[in-house]
Amino acid sequence: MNKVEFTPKSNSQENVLSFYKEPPNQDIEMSLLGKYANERLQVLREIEGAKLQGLKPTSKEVMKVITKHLPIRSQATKKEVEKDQISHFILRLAFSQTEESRRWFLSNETSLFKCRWGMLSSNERQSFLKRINFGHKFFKIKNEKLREELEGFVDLENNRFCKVPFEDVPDMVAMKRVFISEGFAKFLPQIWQDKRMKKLLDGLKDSYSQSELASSYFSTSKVNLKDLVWLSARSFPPCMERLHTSLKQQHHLRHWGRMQYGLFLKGIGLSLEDSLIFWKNEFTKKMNTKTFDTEYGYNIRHNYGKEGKCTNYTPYSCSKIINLSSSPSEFHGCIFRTVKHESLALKLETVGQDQPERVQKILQLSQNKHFQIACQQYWLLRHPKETTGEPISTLTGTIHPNSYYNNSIEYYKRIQEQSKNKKITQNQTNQK
Amino acid sequence: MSEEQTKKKLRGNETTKNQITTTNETFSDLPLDTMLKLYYQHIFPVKEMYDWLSIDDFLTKRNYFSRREFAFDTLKFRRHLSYSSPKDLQNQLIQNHPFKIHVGPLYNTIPRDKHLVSVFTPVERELVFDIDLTDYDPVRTCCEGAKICTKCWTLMTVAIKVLDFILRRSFGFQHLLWVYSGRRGVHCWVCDTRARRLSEKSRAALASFINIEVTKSGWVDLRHPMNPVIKKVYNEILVDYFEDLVVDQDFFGDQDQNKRSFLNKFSNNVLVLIRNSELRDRIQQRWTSQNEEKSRWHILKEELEYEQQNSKKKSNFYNRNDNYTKILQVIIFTTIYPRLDIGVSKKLNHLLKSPFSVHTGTENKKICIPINPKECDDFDPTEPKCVPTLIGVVNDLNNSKKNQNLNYNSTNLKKYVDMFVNDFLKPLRLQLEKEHKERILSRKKNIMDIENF
Repeated sequence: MNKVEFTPKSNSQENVLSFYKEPPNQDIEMSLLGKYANERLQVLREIEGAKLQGLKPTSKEVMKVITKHLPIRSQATKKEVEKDQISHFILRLAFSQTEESRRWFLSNETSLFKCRWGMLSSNERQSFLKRINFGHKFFKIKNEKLREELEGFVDLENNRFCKVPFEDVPDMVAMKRVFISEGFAKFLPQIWQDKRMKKLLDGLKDSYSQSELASSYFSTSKVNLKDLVWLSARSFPPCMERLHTSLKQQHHLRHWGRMQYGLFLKGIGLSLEDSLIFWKNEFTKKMNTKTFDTEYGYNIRHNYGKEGKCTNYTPYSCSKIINLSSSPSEFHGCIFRTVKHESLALKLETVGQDQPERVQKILQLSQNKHFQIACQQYWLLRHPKETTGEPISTLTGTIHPNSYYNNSIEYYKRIQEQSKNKKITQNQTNQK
Repeated sequence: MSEEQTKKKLRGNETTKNQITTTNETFSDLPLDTMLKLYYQHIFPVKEMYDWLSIDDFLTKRNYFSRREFAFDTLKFRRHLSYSSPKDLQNQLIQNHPFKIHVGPLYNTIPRDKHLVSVFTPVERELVFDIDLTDYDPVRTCCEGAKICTKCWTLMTVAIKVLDFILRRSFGFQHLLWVYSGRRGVHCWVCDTRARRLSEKSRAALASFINIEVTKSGWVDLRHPMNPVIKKVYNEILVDYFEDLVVDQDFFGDQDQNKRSFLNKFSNNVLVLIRNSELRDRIQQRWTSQNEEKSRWHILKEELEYEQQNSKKKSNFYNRNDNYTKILQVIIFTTIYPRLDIGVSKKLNHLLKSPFSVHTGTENKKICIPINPKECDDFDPTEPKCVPTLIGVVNDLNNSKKNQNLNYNSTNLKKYVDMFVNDFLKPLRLQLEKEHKERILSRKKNIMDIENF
């Protein structure tokens, strides 16, 4: 059994809120680790989705998913603490690999902290601050003269002030948002929640060593060259399917198309060797091998981190793809954005003959620029009778082509399982 | 050169171009280099500067002085210079006779040996501020550029008071050295241990706290509600000084309507701050009327206060009334609040001119002397006798009695070196001694704790 070493830091927690200063230190099973990581990831994605939709991170939907997977209450159970700590650190490790993933992680963890902070009562917050040894005293403004001075600047009703050396809160000092006296910045804690998190996050920038652990966007299974044809028709997101078809027709793709599709293929598990064969096969129908090797071979190897500064590039997310600029002669980008309404309608009607309502819904969503939700609906169109609920959240829509793909693979696996079970029970009844 | 030789040279026994016949003549025709050499040899207070910049070398063996960066302005500019002793520094000063000396930060190693190490980085540096009257050109009406006079020097007085107030009362610093920068500004060196150890981020934050930005429109960006520290500065310092400055600088053009273009622009722009068009017109009318006896500033205040009273009656929205106080505040902050060059304060490796350096850019060649912030109202560098000059002190030296020692004590500079030592250096050293004792005590306690364990 695969075990990873870590143990939890403190035993008597109150609420589960934490600044994650030290990683846990205990044994845990790999499968549990994966489960915790995925659930936290779901929470972070919900938060991202809410932000994309312009909702506050403290909206109902987000709070619901937080309460489901990473609940926060006065007396947290040991298990909740364990899950919170472990899931945070494992994701931190996973997302430390690229600048983009780091930024994504930091931004959504900050919002998560903000939400959970918002869910605590004033007493619970005080106890948290005490626990993390924020170290600085709370005091009341007794001096009448001082009270007068602070009138209008702070709300004196809640007069439990916090006092820290001004060096600890540089951003608030710079913006003149704190009262400074005797070398201390004195303020009400509510004001600083954003900035304090910033300080934590600066600390979070310490990177861990490169880990073999794949982020959940990467498929753990491999893909064979020969399967690409039917996989693209069945399980690829529409943007990648279009790129695949165009490549087959034109025997060429321009830069962004190559990047978008090439990295996607890497993500689904196509090896470097197979990738080289695949691209060479297509391109050499219009050019000679030498040209391919010199002009394109290098870039493919670069994408797999085998050339130059050896960055292991991650496949593009939906938000990145949507924002790619394109011209009419190119096939990259998000089809719900770039393809003309009529052509999109035609394609959808061919594919979703039996679900006219959903087709209409997709067309409308595209028109209203909700591309990712349109894609999510498209997934449901292509994977009918999905019984385990919505693998892709309605709130966020599809956020990554590889997750669209992974969800599709899972779906078909489940179908296989179901039909296998059916056959077994049928045989059993037959035997009877 | 021995003392006797110097005296001989000064007294001029040989017939040279620079022959001096009487002891009372000035030395303005001595070449600058010679005067500087004399200055560095006899007058520049090397020992006192060493006592300051060596921090607590007198208690510990931390090599502060050798790790301190100096820079000399001679024909070329050289930085990352360092010295092992005051004598060493003095010899180099005489040899090179720079027309400007800069002091930099403390590095992790001797600056002269920087090429011998893989990491060469500043580790400590006083918190410094640089205020220059040229930054007030948009509001000054008496002078501009390098020119200064008694009237606009008051702006520097205000700057010293405001900064001194905030640094001491809010930030808790105690060991501030204010220095006249030689022509048109002042420098502040904050030498508390806490200040020396501030990171660049903290310095930037602190400087941003004190600084009030001037926007493109020319008016300051005042945020409300106002920070209590800034508010206090306004009430206790700015409001009073403005009443004098508004007359001296004639901000509203009472005395001469056709004065400098920026003045008129200023007057017109003030009315832009007022959104109520009726009020604006009323003020404008009174300003241009021949019958008014009051000054424009008083008219403005009167009209705004009157409007405020009326609005109180009209509505219950207290916030709206604040607009009128805000207008007055914006005017006052824009014209007389200190204008900092925050770039100077942010960086650890910034070089700043040394106290007691000579400002050779002007004819008078004033010396950068310390200023007592408690008496800065009386300090006026535009007064001819106020600030010692290079020529003046060299002259003093020449006029000194035969049996006197040839040093700054025989010159006009004595008063300022004494001020430097008594008001600044001694308290700072006392503080350093105190910190040293506390360190030893806590170390002893730690050892005892371990032993008892």
